[in-house]
Amino acid sequence: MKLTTRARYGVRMLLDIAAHHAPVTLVMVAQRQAISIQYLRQLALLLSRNGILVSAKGKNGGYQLARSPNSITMYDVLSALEGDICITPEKETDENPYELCLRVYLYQVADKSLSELLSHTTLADLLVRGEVFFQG
Amino acid sequence: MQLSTKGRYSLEAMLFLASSPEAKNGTEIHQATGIPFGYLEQLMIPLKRAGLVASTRGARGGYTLARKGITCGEVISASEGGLKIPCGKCKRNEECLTESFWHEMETLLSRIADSITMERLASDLALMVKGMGI
Repeated sequence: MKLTTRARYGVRMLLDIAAHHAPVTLVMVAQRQAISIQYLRQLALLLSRNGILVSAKGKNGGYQLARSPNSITMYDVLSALEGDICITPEKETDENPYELCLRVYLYQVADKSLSELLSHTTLADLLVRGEVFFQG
Repeated sequence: MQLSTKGRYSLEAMLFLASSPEAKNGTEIHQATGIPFGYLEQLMIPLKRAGLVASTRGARGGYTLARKGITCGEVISASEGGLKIPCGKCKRNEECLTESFWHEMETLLSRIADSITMERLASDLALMVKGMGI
C-alpha cells in the first residue's frame, strides 16, 4: 500500500495556501515546499477542476481555497487527487471465492474506516497541528 | 493508495492454505486462486522467511500455514513491508504537518489488518460458499 506523491504533495500545497489569507502564487509555494513549479501547476489545475482551489488573476493574483478550510475534508482532497479512495482496485469479473472473501471481510472494512476518518478530518484540523511550522 | 498485487496474491494464497486441512503444492494453489504459477515461489519466500508458511517435501508435500492466529497484517508486513506511507527518507519529517495524519491513516489500516486472522477469514469463506449454494 502506497500513498502517491501526488497526494502527499497536493496536501502540502493546499495547507501552504490555506495558511495564508490572501491568494498565494505557485512560485511561493514551490519555494517554501521545495516542490517543482511544473508539478504544482498540474496539481493546482486538478484541484481547481474539483472545486477545491480558485485562481485570482492580476497583480496580487494566485490561488486560494474555494471555501473555508473547515469545510474541505481530506476525503474531498484525496478524491480529487487520487480518484477512488480504496485499498484495492475495482472488482474483477472472474473473482475467485478467496478474492471475494478478502474483498468483503478485509478490503471493504478497511475502505469504510478509511473513508470515515477522511470525512471527519478537514484541512483546518491539519492546519491546527501545523501552527508551529507555519509560524516558524 | 492501493495494496500491491503481491500483497493481494499473498493474502489469497494464505487464505487458500487456511481453508485446506492438508498441505497444498504450487499447482493446487495456482489452480484454486489463479495466481500465476511462476509467481508463487516469489510470494512464498518472504512468507516462509517470516515464519508464516511451512513447506514439506515428498509426494504429499506442499505448503501449510506455520501456526494458528496469523493475521492479515502479518501477511501484508511480510509480503510488502506493511501499509507504510513512504515518508521515511524525507528530510522534512520534523516539520511536516501532514506526516502525523498519514500515520493516523496507517495506524487505522494496520489495526484492522492486525485484527483479522486467517482462521476467521476461512470460516467467513466457508459460510459464504455455503450461502452461495456452491
